[in-house]
Amino acid sequence: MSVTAKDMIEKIKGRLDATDGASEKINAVFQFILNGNGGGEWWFDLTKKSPETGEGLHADAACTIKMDAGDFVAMLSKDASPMKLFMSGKLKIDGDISTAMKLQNFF
Amino acid sequence: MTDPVGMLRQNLRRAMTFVQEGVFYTLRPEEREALFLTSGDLLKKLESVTQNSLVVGMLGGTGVGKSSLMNAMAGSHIASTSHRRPHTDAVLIYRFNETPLPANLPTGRFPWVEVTHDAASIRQVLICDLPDFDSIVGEHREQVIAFLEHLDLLVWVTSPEKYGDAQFFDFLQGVTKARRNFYFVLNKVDLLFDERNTEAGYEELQKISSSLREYLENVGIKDPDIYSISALEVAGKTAHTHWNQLSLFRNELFRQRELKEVKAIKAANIDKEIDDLFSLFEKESLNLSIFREQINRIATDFKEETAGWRDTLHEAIALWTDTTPLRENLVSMTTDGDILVGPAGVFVLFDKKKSTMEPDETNTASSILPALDEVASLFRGQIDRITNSIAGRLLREGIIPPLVERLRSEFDEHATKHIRDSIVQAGMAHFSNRNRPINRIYRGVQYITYLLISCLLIVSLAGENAWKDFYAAPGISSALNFIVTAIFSAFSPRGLAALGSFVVINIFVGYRFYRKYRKIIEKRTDRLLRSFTNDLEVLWKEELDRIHERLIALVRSLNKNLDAIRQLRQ
Ligand SMILES: Nc1nc2c(ncn2[C@@H]2O[C@H](COP(=O)(O)OP(=O)(O)O)[C@@H](O)[C@H]2O)c(=O)[nH]1
Ligand SMILES: [Mg+2]
Repeated sequence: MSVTAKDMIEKIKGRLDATDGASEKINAVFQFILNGNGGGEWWFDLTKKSPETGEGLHADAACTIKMDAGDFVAMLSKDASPMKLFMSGKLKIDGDISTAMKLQNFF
Repeated sequence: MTDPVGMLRQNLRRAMTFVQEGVFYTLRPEEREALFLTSGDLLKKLESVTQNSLVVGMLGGTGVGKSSLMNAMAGSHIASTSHRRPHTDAVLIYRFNETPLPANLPTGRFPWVEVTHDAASIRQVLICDLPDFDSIVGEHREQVIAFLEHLDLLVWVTSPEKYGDAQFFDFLQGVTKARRNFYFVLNKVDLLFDERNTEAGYEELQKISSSLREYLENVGIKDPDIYSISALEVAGKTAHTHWNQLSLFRNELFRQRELKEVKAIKAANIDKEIDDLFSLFEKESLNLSIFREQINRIATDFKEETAGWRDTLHEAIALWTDTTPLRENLVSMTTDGDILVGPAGVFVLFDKKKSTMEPDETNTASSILPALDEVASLFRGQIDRITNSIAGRLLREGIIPPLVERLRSEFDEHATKHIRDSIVQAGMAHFSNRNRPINRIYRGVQYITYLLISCLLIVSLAGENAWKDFYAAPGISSALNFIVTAIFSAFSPRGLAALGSFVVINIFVGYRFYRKYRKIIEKRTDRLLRSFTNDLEVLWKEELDRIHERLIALVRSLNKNLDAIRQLRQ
């Protein structure tokens, strides 16, 4: 079976957990809204000492990233560059864009 | 996958054949010529797609940073940059020293300069810095536009200040390159970002890129490949900011491509050119299919109208038979004075149209042919009426004139030449028969009649007594007596009276013979004429069928053309 968006979310979570002080650096709540096959809604809360992840919509999201689940998987597998997706309108960011870019380090 | 180049080649060849065969009715002669010549050029161009290098052109308005980008790509200062405009008015070609220049690059008056390098890793790609197309004018502009022909990939450079300029999009629309061979660079993106507020920069970038995409989509470029770049930033810094996609762009452009991919890129451009060229067929195809529908309908209706057309010819022929001198000619031609003996022959002499000619073949032909030509032109007139009625209907239905002409050509003089031939043939078969209808029997009857009248005269002259003597004792002496009595009494008053009535009777009988003879001839002529006109009506019916067949055949040939065009457009 091919990699799903959910697998990728787990992967990011693992990286965030493994990084010391990830929350301090970013200090924001991210919301992912992934459309299409294997899509869904996930959030990362990086305001607390240890990062939290959950499904659904978070009320205090500083930044919402909307994209296709397939593109999301491709982006995290380094098959597509986030900037390229951004420039082609396939990656839309509502809210604090620069913080969203910081999250890239954990992709 | 089939070989794209081979497919294109085949299509072009087919298009050229079609033009030669005159398949395209609706194209104007100059369009047809352009189609033929351009197809030839494209064929030649297809031959050169095997060159394993790509020519990339940097296009854009003044000051968007084409030259700067060129320098950034080359990694050294090769193109001169400037605030003043226009700065470059020649094409600058940056190429690896062993990579050949594009084939058939115009030399001489066309301004281009080149810078060669020795970075073998980017040997496959030649980059051209083109003059700012918005600042050049006139002949020079034409030359630059002509140079586009040599490009395989097109990099459209713009900037946050200029990306909305409508004339760029108009220009872009006219560029005959495959859309997938366009790259878009939004340069000077650094202007959007200042150190402290990256967020505002990204927001601005998101806005600009989405409206740029929208503009491009409006000119038919779906999903454009847009790179956000700062050509200037690269010159100073070693590490790029995140939004600067220069290295990504550089890698994409300079990446080593297999020949197959290079070919596909070039073929896609030529395909686009062919597509533009073949768009002429769209029009043709539309026109032809409407035309075909109309002809189809006309053919069906015509089938039903044939009875009417037969009537009109019937009437026209009736009128013709009443007025043509053919009957008169035929009668006098058939009249033969030798057949009438005695006084009847004298009446023939009085006939005003007495034929003095011997009825041999040439004489017959020369006296009949004019009449047959009349019939032929009568037929022709009917065909013209039919053609006009069809043409009128087509024009009313909005069929364009060239197609209506095409229809007319099906029924023009040339196409209906056979009609005259059949008419002449039928006429000759009927009228050139040299057998005179009345033969010796008629002469015999005349001789016997006159002989009897003469006998009566002699008997009446000789008188009753001489006749009785002869009857009582038939013999030489009584016969002689009878004759002598007759001669003697010829000059008596009684004899003169008998002679007088003899002459009157002779004239009367002669006239009767003459009249009878005339009647026979006339009857025969009428019979021939009737049979001839019957034949004419049969010929006409056949002709009407032929017209119908031609209409059907036209529909069939239109179908073939439409198929051919459809194949080309696939
Ligand atoms: N801020 C900024 N300026 C640039 C950039 N690229 C070029 N320029 C400037 O824009 C001006 C015109 O550049 P040039 O390369 O000559 O543009 P061209 O007319 O398109 O060839 C020059 O002054 C460049 O220094 C860039 O990425 N950012
Ligand atoms: Mg320049």
